[in-house]
Amino acid sequence: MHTIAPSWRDALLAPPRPATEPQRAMTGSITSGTAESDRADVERVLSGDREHFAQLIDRHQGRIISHLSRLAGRNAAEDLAQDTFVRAYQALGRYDATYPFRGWLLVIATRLAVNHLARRREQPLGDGLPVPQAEADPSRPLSEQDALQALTLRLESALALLAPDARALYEMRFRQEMGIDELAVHFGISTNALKVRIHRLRTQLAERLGLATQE
Amino acid sequence: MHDTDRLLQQLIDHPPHDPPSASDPAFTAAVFGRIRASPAPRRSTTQLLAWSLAGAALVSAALLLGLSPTDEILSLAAPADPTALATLAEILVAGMVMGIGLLAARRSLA
Repeated sequence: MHTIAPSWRDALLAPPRPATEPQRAMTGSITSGTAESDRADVERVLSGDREHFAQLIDRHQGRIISHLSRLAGRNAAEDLAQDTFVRAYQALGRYDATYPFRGWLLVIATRLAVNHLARRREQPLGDGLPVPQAEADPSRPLSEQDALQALTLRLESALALLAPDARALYEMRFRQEMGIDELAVHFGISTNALKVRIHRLRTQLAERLGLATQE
Repeated sequence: MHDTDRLLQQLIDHPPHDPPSASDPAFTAAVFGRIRASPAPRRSTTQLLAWSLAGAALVSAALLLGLSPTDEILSLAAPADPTALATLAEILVAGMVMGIGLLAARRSLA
């Protein structure tokens, strides 16, 4: 098996540190400023300023399209993203500003993607994945980037085998970092029930990746 | 546990984020084209009820303080007999009218 450069390995195994402001911007974590801007924009749209919805579309379209590409494939992602924003606009009066607007959009997008896949009865999950490169020469030492790509592809392959709703839950909880409480409210189940689902999901993924499950 | 296994386990819990992407004006325009054909979003019934109850509380407080709502509000709330406003039901009706009026005023001023 290839060895992995220690610096990258150590960085990944190190305990997570609080993100700096530029890092948050890069990873898309919700800052209080974004949440405040979202709330203000929603309020203005509900007060009759329809054009202000453009601010919300501009702010969130990239992440919603990426999320939908992972769930439903690149070809369907843009249409589904448009549907997401139109549905969000029509249902804006029911949005609960207690929770982040981005999470609400992600839930709408996810439901549309899962329904889309159910209608088509196929699982194009994976066509948004990085393209695998030619088999590397085992004698050549792996760069950090190669190693990360290899592990990421292993994870993506395992994710592609999950049922659409399980994949959707994984994406929202782990990649989009939505909170347990927020997800439980959106899906109308208790936090304990959601934690059980997430635990099963992690166990299932670990088994597919040939990892010993952690208790 | 082998290092690679630990890394994979970490990757499960912390998958790479999507790179940030610039907003596409054509996408926003396409969404807006569809939104313009939709009715404007309305506050939910719960919000309307909350505003109405807030209005009812205002009227109740005004009555408790010995203040009297204007004749116009009285005539809207209980046109047949303004003097019977002391009953709880009528106070609530007057409050709801006031609450909806407040909401409408807020919308028109925003």
